[in-house]
Amino acid sequence: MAYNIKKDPKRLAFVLARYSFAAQMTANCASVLELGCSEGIGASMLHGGIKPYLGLDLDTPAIEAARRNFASETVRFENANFLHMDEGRFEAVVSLDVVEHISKGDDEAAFFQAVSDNITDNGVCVIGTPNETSTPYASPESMRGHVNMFDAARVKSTMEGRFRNVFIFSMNDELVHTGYAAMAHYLFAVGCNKIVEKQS
Amino acid sequence: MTNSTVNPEKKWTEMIHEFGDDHGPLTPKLAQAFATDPYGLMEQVAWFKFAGKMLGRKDRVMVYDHLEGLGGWTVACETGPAVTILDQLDPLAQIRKAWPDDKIMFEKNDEILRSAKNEFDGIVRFDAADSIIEAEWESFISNSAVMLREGGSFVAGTKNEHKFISIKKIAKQHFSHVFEFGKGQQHPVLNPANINIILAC
Repeated sequence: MAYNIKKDPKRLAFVLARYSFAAQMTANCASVLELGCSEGIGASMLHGGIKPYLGLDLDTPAIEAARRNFASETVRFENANFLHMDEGRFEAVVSLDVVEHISKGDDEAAFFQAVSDNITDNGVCVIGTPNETSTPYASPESMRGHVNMFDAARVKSTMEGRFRNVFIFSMNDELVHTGYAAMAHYLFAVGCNKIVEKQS
Repeated sequence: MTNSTVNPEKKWTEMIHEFGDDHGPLTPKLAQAFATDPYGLMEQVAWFKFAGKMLGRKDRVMVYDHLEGLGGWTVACETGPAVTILDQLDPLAQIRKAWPDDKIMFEKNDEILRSAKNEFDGIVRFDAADSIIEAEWESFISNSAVMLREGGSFVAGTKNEHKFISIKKIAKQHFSHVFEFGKGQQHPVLNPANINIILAC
Protein backbone atom coordinates (compact mmCIF):
# COMPACT_ATOMS: atom_id res chain seq x y z
CA MET A 1 0.00 0.00 0.00
CA ALA A 2 1.25 3.48 -0.91
CA TYR A 3 3.16 5.43 1.70
CA ASN A 4 0.68 8.28 1.53
CA ILE A 5 -2.28 6.08 2.35
CA LYS A 6 -0.55 4.53 5.33
CA LYS A 7 0.68 7.85 6.63
CA ASP A 8 -2.50 9.84 6.02
CA PRO A 9 -5.48 7.56 5.33
CA LYS A 10 -7.97 10.40 4.92
CA ARG A 11 -6.01 11.22 1.80
CA LEU A 12 -7.57 8.13 0.23
CA ALA A 13 -10.92 9.91 0.34
CA PHE A 14 -9.43 12.89 -1.52
CA VAL A 15 -7.69 10.69 -4.05
CA LEU A 16 -10.73 8.55 -4.81
CA ALA A 17 -12.86 11.70 -5.06
CA ARG A 18 -10.42 13.01 -7.66
CA TYR A 19 -10.85 9.80 -9.64
CA SER A 20 -14.59 9.97 -9.18
CA PHE A 21 -14.65 13.41 -10.78
CA ALA A 22 -12.34 12.33 -13.61
CA ALA A 23 -14.62 9.32 -14.19
CA GLN A 24 -17.65 11.59 -14.39
CA MET A 25 -15.94 13.85 -16.91
CA THR A 26 -14.88 10.91 -19.09
CA ALA A 27 -18.12 8.95 -18.73
CA ASN A 28 -18.83 9.18 -22.48
CA CYS A 29 -15.34 8.08 -23.54
CA ALA A 30 -14.89 4.52 -24.72
CA SER A 31 -11.21 4.01 -23.75
CA VAL A 32 -8.94 5.43 -21.07
CA LEU A 33 -5.23 6.14 -20.82
CA GLU A 34 -3.93 7.11 -17.40
CA LEU A 35 -0.56 8.83 -17.23
CA GLY A 36 0.91 8.22 -13.82
CA CYS A 37 -1.38 5.50 -12.50
CA SER A 38 0.86 4.43 -9.58
CA GLU A 39 -0.75 1.37 -7.89
CA GLY A 40 -3.86 1.66 -10.03
CA ILE A 41 -6.27 2.44 -7.24
CA GLY A 42 -8.36 4.72 -9.45
CA ALA A 43 -8.41 2.50 -12.49
CA SER A 44 -11.72 0.79 -11.78
CA MET A 45 -13.53 4.12 -11.48
CA LEU A 46 -12.08 5.23 -14.80
CA HIS A 47 -12.82 2.07 -16.79
CA GLY A 48 -15.98 1.13 -14.93
CA GLY A 49 -15.42 -2.52 -15.78
CA ILE A 50 -16.37 -1.89 -19.38
CA LYS A 51 -13.73 0.26 -21.05
CA PRO A 52 -10.25 -0.67 -22.23
CA TYR A 53 -7.77 0.99 -19.87
CA LEU A 54 -4.01 1.46 -19.97
CA GLY A 55 -2.17 2.81 -16.94
CA LEU A 56 1.44 3.94 -17.22
CA ASP A 57 3.92 4.79 -14.52
CA LEU A 58 7.67 4.96 -14.02
CA ASP A 59 7.41 3.38 -10.57
CA THR A 60 8.17 -0.30 -11.14
CA PRO A 61 7.00 -1.69 -7.76
CA ALA A 62 3.77 0.32 -8.03
CA ILE A 63 3.06 -1.07 -11.48
CA GLU A 64 3.76 -4.61 -10.24
CA ALA A 65 1.26 -4.06 -7.43
CA ALA A 66 -1.30 -2.66 -9.88
CA ARG A 67 -0.92 -5.73 -12.09
CA ARG A 68 -1.27 -8.11 -9.16
CA ASN A 69 -4.39 -6.39 -7.90
CA PHE A 70 -6.26 -4.99 -10.86
CA ALA A 71 -5.04 -6.21 -14.26
CA SER A 72 -7.37 -8.05 -16.61
CA GLU A 73 -7.65 -8.69 -20.31
CA THR A 74 -8.73 -5.12 -20.97
CA VAL A 75 -7.05 -3.42 -18.02
CA ARG A 76 -3.29 -3.08 -18.50
CA PHE A 77 -0.56 -1.48 -16.45
CA GLU A 78 2.81 -0.75 -18.01
CA ASN A 79 6.07 0.42 -16.52
CA ALA A 80 6.94 3.19 -18.96
CA ASN A 81 8.08 6.75 -19.34
CA PHE A 82 5.17 8.44 -21.04
CA LEU A 83 7.10 11.52 -22.16
CA HIS A 84 7.53 11.21 -25.95
CA MET A 85 5.34 8.08 -26.01
CA ASP A 86 2.85 7.22 -28.68
CA GLU A 87 0.57 4.42 -27.49
CA GLY A 88 -2.15 5.09 -29.98
CA ARG A 89 -5.33 7.02 -29.47
CA PHE A 90 -7.57 6.94 -26.42
CA GLU A 91 -10.85 8.73 -25.99
CA ALA A 92 -9.87 9.81 -22.49
CA VAL A 93 -6.48 10.77 -21.10
CA VAL A 94 -6.40 11.23 -17.35
CA SER A 95 -3.43 12.35 -15.31
CA LEU A 96 -3.82 13.16 -11.63
CA ASP A 97 -1.04 14.35 -9.34
CA VAL A 98 1.59 13.97 -12.02
CA VAL A 99 2.34 17.21 -13.85
CA GLU A 100 3.59 18.93 -10.70
CA HIS A 101 6.39 16.34 -10.60
CA ILE A 102 7.53 17.09 -14.15
CA SER A 103 10.12 19.80 -14.63
CA LYS A 104 9.20 23.05 -16.33
CA GLY A 105 10.46 23.56 -19.85
CA ASP A 106 11.10 20.66 -22.20
CA ASP A 107 9.73 17.92 -19.93
CA GLU A 108 6.51 19.84 -19.27
CA ALA A 109 6.12 20.43 -22.99
CA ALA A 110 6.75 16.73 -23.65
CA PHE A 111 4.09 15.80 -21.11
CA PHE A 112 1.41 17.90 -22.77
CA GLN A 113 2.58 16.72 -26.17
CA ALA A 114 2.14 13.11 -24.95
CA VAL A 115 -1.38 13.98 -23.83
CA SER A 116 -2.12 15.44 -27.23
CA ASP A 117 -0.46 12.63 -29.20
CA ASN A 118 -2.37 9.91 -27.38
CA ILE A 119 -5.88 11.34 -27.35
CA THR A 120 -8.41 11.14 -30.16
CA ASP A 121 -9.43 14.40 -31.84
CA ASN A 122 -12.73 14.09 -30.03
CA GLY A 123 -11.26 12.94 -26.71
CA VAL A 124 -11.53 14.35 -23.21
CA CYS A 125 -8.48 15.10 -21.10
CA VAL A 126 -8.55 15.52 -17.32
CA ILE A 127 -5.47 16.93 -15.61
CA GLY A 128 -5.50 17.24 -11.82
CA THR A 129 -2.80 18.93 -9.81
CA PRO A 130 -2.37 20.64 -6.44
CA ASN A 131 -2.81 24.38 -6.63
CA GLU A 132 0.36 26.45 -6.42
CA THR A 133 -1.38 28.55 -3.79
CA SER A 134 -1.57 25.49 -1.52
CA THR A 135 2.22 25.20 -1.36
CA PRO A 136 2.60 26.85 2.08
CA TYR A 137 0.46 24.04 3.53
CA ALA A 138 2.18 21.15 1.75
CA SER A 139 4.04 18.47 3.68
CA PRO A 140 7.85 18.43 3.41
CA GLU A 141 7.59 15.22 1.35
CA SER A 142 5.22 16.83 -1.11
CA MET A 143 7.32 19.95 -1.40
CA ARG A 144 10.39 17.92 -2.30
CA GLY A 145 8.63 16.27 -5.21
CA HIS A 146 6.56 19.20 -6.44
CA VAL A 147 8.90 20.87 -8.86
CA ASN A 148 6.35 22.44 -11.17
CA MET A 149 3.31 23.91 -9.48
CA PHE A 150 0.43 25.38 -11.46
CA ASP A 151 -2.19 27.91 -10.53
CA ALA A 152 -5.57 28.02 -12.23
CA ALA A 153 -4.53 30.58 -14.84
CA ARG A 154 -1.43 28.66 -15.91
CA VAL A 155 -3.05 25.24 -16.08
CA LYS A 156 -5.88 26.76 -18.12
CA SER A 157 -3.62 28.62 -20.53
CA THR A 158 -1.32 25.60 -20.92
CA MET A 159 -4.26 23.33 -21.70
CA GLU A 160 -5.69 25.93 -24.07
CA GLY A 161 -2.57 25.42 -26.15
CA ARG A 162 -3.86 21.89 -26.83
CA PHE A 163 -7.66 22.04 -26.49
CA ARG A 164 -10.27 24.48 -27.76
CA ASN A 165 -12.42 24.11 -24.66
CA VAL A 166 -10.88 24.03 -21.20
CA PHE A 167 -12.94 24.04 -18.02
CA ILE A 168 -11.36 24.66 -14.64
CA PHE A 169 -12.70 23.16 -11.42
CA SER A 170 -11.52 23.66 -7.87
CA MET A 171 -11.35 21.01 -5.18
CA ASN A 172 -10.99 21.09 -1.42
CA ASP A 173 -10.97 17.67 0.22
CA GLU A 174 -13.68 15.65 -1.58
CA LEU A 175 -15.65 18.73 -2.63
CA VAL A 176 -15.38 19.83 -6.25
CA HIS A 177 -16.59 23.37 -6.81
CA THR A 178 -16.23 26.47 -8.91
CA GLY A 179 -15.27 28.80 -6.09
CA TYR A 180 -12.39 31.24 -5.92
CA ALA A 181 -9.58 29.23 -7.50
CA ALA A 182 -6.78 30.81 -5.49
CA MET A 183 -8.24 29.22 -2.36
CA ALA A 184 -8.62 25.78 -3.87
CA HIS A 185 -6.26 23.11 -2.67
CA TYR A 186 -6.50 21.20 -5.90
CA LEU A 187 -7.30 22.07 -9.51
CA PHE A 188 -8.76 20.16 -12.42
CA ALA A 189 -8.48 21.20 -16.03
CA VAL A 190 -10.88 19.37 -18.33
CA GLY A 191 -9.96 19.79 -21.99
CA CYS A 192 -11.86 18.72 -25.07
CA ASN A 193 -12.01 19.46 -28.79
CA LYS A 194 -8.30 18.94 -29.35
CA ILE A 195 -6.47 21.48 -31.48
CA VAL A 196 -5.28 19.36 -34.34
CA GLU A 197 -1.90 20.39 -35.68
CA LYS A 198 -2.02 20.98 -39.40
CA GLN A 199 0.31 18.79 -41.46
CA SER A 200 2.78 20.88 -43.44
CA MET B 1 -4.11 59.70 13.64
CA THR B 2 -5.52 56.64 15.41
CA ASN B 3 -8.67 54.76 14.49
CA SER B 4 -10.51 56.34 17.39
CA THR B 5 -10.21 59.74 15.76
CA VAL B 6 -11.79 58.63 12.48
CA ASN B 7 -15.43 59.53 12.21
CA PRO B 8 -16.99 56.18 11.22
CA GLU B 9 -20.15 57.80 9.94
CA LYS B 10 -18.18 59.99 7.56
CA LYS B 11 -16.04 57.06 6.48
CA TRP B 12 -19.07 54.87 5.80
CA THR B 13 -20.70 57.66 3.82
CA GLU B 14 -17.60 57.95 1.68
CA MET B 15 -17.44 54.18 1.17
CA ILE B 16 -21.12 53.95 0.27
CA HIS B 17 -20.63 56.74 -2.25
CA GLU B 18 -17.55 55.03 -3.63
CA PHE B 19 -19.29 51.63 -3.93
CA GLY B 20 -22.34 53.18 -5.55
CA ASP B 21 -24.73 51.48 -3.14
CA ASP B 22 -28.01 53.33 -3.68
CA HIS B 23 -30.25 50.97 -1.67
CA GLY B 24 -32.61 51.14 -4.63
CA PRO B 25 -35.85 49.15 -4.66
CA LEU B 26 -35.71 45.50 -5.62
CA THR B 27 -37.45 44.40 -8.78
CA PRO B 28 -40.69 42.45 -8.13
CA LYS B 29 -39.56 38.84 -8.54
CA LEU B 30 -36.35 39.40 -6.62
CA ALA B 31 -38.21 41.10 -3.79
CA GLN B 32 -40.58 38.14 -3.69
CA ALA B 33 -37.70 35.64 -3.76
CA PHE B 34 -35.81 37.35 -0.92
CA ALA B 35 -38.98 37.35 1.15
CA THR B 36 -40.47 33.96 0.45
CA ASP B 37 -37.91 31.70 -1.20
CA PRO B 38 -34.40 32.72 -0.15
CA TYR B 39 -33.15 29.12 -0.40
CA GLY B 40 -34.42 28.85 -3.95
CA LEU B 41 -32.76 32.15 -4.78
CA MET B 42 -29.49 30.93 -3.30
CA GLU B 43 -29.64 27.77 -5.42
CA GLN B 44 -30.49 29.60 -8.60
CA VAL B 45 -27.74 32.17 -8.24
CA ALA B 46 -25.38 29.19 -7.76
CA TRP B 47 -26.55 27.79 -11.13
CA PHE B 48 -25.64 31.04 -12.88
CA LYS B 49 -22.35 31.23 -11.02
CA PHE B 50 -21.53 27.70 -12.17
CA ALA B 51 -22.33 28.67 -15.76
CA GLY B 52 -20.19 31.79 -15.56
CA LYS B 53 -17.27 29.89 -14.12
CA MET B 54 -17.50 27.25 -16.80
CA LEU B 55 -17.54 29.78 -19.60
CA GLY B 56 -14.69 31.89 -18.20
CA ARG B 57 -13.65 35.18 -19.84
CA LYS B 58 -15.36 35.54 -23.21
CA ASP B 59 -16.06 38.23 -25.76
CA ARG B 60 -19.83 37.82 -25.80
CA VAL B 61 -22.29 35.45 -24.17
CA MET B 62 -26.06 35.14 -24.07
CA VAL B 63 -27.94 34.39 -20.87
CA TYR B 64 -31.63 33.61 -20.40
CA ASP B 65 -32.40 35.15 -17.07
CA HIS B 66 -35.47 34.43 -14.96
CA LEU B 67 -34.03 36.45 -12.05
CA GLU B 68 -34.67 39.95 -13.41
CA GLY B 69 -31.06 40.65 -14.29
CA LEU B 70 -29.37 38.98 -11.35
CA GLY B 71 -28.70 35.78 -13.32
CA GLY B 72 -27.26 37.62 -16.31
CA TRP B 73 -25.19 39.86 -14.09
CA THR B 74 -23.83 36.85 -12.16
CA VAL B 75 -22.66 35.33 -15.43
CA ALA B 76 -21.37 38.63 -16.87
CA CYS B 77 -19.19 39.22 -13.83
CA GLU B 78 -17.32 36.01 -14.73
CA THR B 79 -17.44 36.14 -18.50
CA GLY B 80 -17.52 39.78 -19.56
CA PRO B 81 -20.10 41.14 -22.04
CA ALA B 82 -23.46 39.40 -21.82
CA VAL B 83 -26.70 39.80 -23.71
CA THR B 84 -29.37 38.91 -21.21
CA ILE B 85 -32.82 37.75 -22.29
CA LEU B 86 -35.45 38.56 -19.71
CA ASP B 87 -38.88 37.07 -19.21
CA GLN B 88 -41.62 38.77 -21.22
CA LEU B 89 -43.36 40.31 -18.21
CA ASP B 90 -40.19 41.59 -16.54
CA PRO B 91 -39.95 45.38 -16.02
CA LEU B 92 -37.24 46.13 -18.56
CA ALA B 93 -36.62 49.79 -17.66
CA GLN B 94 -36.41 49.02 -13.96
CA ILE B 95 -34.01 46.15 -14.57
CA ARG B 96 -31.78 48.24 -16.84
CA LYS B 97 -31.65 50.85 -14.11
CA ALA B 98 -30.80 48.24 -11.50
CA TRP B 99 -27.82 46.85 -13.45
CA PRO B 100 -26.27 49.85 -15.16
CA ASP B 101 -23.08 48.48 -16.65
CA ASP B 102 -21.64 48.39 -20.14
CA LYS B 103 -20.98 44.68 -19.99
CA ILE B 104 -24.63 43.71 -19.65
CA MET B 105 -27.35 44.38 -22.17
CA PHE B 106 -30.98 43.41 -21.61
CA GLU B 107 -33.48 42.21 -24.21
CA LYS B 108 -36.92 40.71 -23.96
CA ASN B 109 -36.98 39.14 -27.34
CA ASP B 110 -34.52 36.59 -28.64
CA GLU B 111 -36.05 35.96 -32.08
CA ILE B 112 -33.58 38.08 -34.03
CA LEU B 113 -30.66 36.74 -32.05
CA ARG B 114 -31.73 33.17 -32.70
CA SER B 115 -31.19 33.68 -36.41
CA ALA B 116 -27.61 34.85 -35.87
CA LYS B 117 -24.69 32.59 -36.70
CA ASN B 118 -21.36 32.39 -34.86
CA GLU B 119 -22.39 35.26 -32.64
CA PHE B 120 -21.73 34.06 -29.09
CA ASP B 121 -18.98 32.34 -27.11
CA GLY B 122 -21.42 30.95 -24.58
CA ILE B 123 -25.15 30.44 -24.12
CA VAL B 124 -26.80 29.83 -20.75
CA ARG B 125 -30.37 28.83 -19.95
CA PHE B 126 -31.95 27.34 -16.84
CA ASP B 127 -35.59 26.34 -16.68
CA ALA B 128 -36.35 26.99 -13.02
CA ALA B 129 -40.12 26.99 -13.52
CA ASP B 130 -40.11 23.84 -15.64
CA SER B 131 -42.04 25.76 -18.27
CA ILE B 132 -40.04 24.93 -21.39
CA ILE B 133 -41.54 22.06 -23.34
CA GLU B 134 -39.34 19.48 -25.01
CA ALA B 135 -40.03 20.76 -28.52
CA GLU B 136 -38.86 24.21 -27.46
CA TRP B 137 -35.68 22.74 -26.00
CA GLU B 138 -35.14 20.97 -29.28
CA SER B 139 -35.31 24.13 -31.36
CA PHE B 140 -33.43 26.15 -28.76
CA ILE B 141 -30.50 23.73 -28.58
CA SER B 142 -30.39 23.42 -32.33
CA ASN B 143 -30.37 27.24 -32.73
CA SER B 144 -27.79 27.61 -30.00
CA ALA B 145 -25.37 25.29 -31.77
CA VAL B 146 -25.57 27.62 -34.78
CA MET B 147 -25.35 30.81 -32.72
CA LEU B 148 -22.19 29.67 -30.96
CA ARG B 149 -18.78 30.48 -32.35
CA GLU B 150 -16.16 27.76 -32.73
CA GLY B 151 -14.97 26.83 -29.26
CA GLY B 152 -18.17 28.16 -27.69
CA SER B 153 -19.95 26.39 -24.84
CA PHE B 154 -23.58 25.78 -23.99
CA VAL B 155 -24.88 25.45 -20.43
CA ALA B 156 -28.46 24.43 -19.72
CA GLY B 157 -30.32 23.00 -16.78
CA THR B 158 -33.66 21.77 -15.55
CA LYS B 159 -34.96 20.11 -12.41
CA ASN B 160 -37.22 17.90 -14.51
CA GLU B 161 -35.35 14.62 -14.84
CA HIS B 162 -37.53 13.36 -17.67
CA LYS B 163 -36.88 16.47 -19.75
CA PHE B 164 -33.21 16.33 -18.85
CA ILE B 165 -32.90 12.97 -20.57
CA SER B 166 -34.24 14.47 -23.75
CA ILE B 167 -32.13 17.65 -23.41
CA LYS B 168 -29.02 15.47 -23.19
CA LYS B 169 -30.10 13.47 -26.20
CA ILE B 170 -30.74 16.59 -28.26
CA ALA B 171 -27.46 18.19 -27.17
CA LYS B 172 -25.51 15.11 -28.21
CA GLN B 173 -26.84 15.60 -31.75
CA HIS B 174 -25.40 19.11 -31.93
CA PHE B 175 -22.27 19.11 -29.78
CA SER B 176 -19.17 16.90 -29.66
CA HIS B 177 -19.11 16.79 -25.86
CA VAL B 178 -21.91 16.80 -23.34
CA PHE B 179 -20.87 16.78 -19.67
CA GLU B 180 -23.40 16.26 -16.91
CA PHE B 181 -23.52 17.87 -13.51
CA GLY B 182 -25.93 18.02 -10.63
CA LYS B 183 -28.49 15.51 -9.46
CA GLY B 184 -27.52 11.89 -9.93
CA GLN B 185 -23.92 12.66 -10.80
CA GLN B 186 -21.25 10.12 -9.99
CA HIS B 187 -19.15 12.47 -7.95
CA PRO B 188 -20.43 12.67 -4.38
CA VAL B 189 -19.96 16.35 -3.72
CA LEU B 190 -20.12 18.72 -6.64
CA ASN B 191 -22.08 21.93 -6.42
CA PRO B 192 -24.68 22.73 -7.73
CA ALA B 193 -26.32 19.46 -6.83
CA ASN B 194 -30.03 20.31 -6.93
CA ILE B 195 -30.49 20.54 -10.68
CA ASN B 196 -29.52 18.61 -13.77
CA ILE B 197 -27.07 20.61 -15.87
CA ILE B 198 -25.40 19.94 -19.16
CA LEU B 199 -22.22 21.62 -20.30
CA ALA B 200 -21.86 21.07 -24.03
CA CYS B 201 -19.22 22.14 -26.50
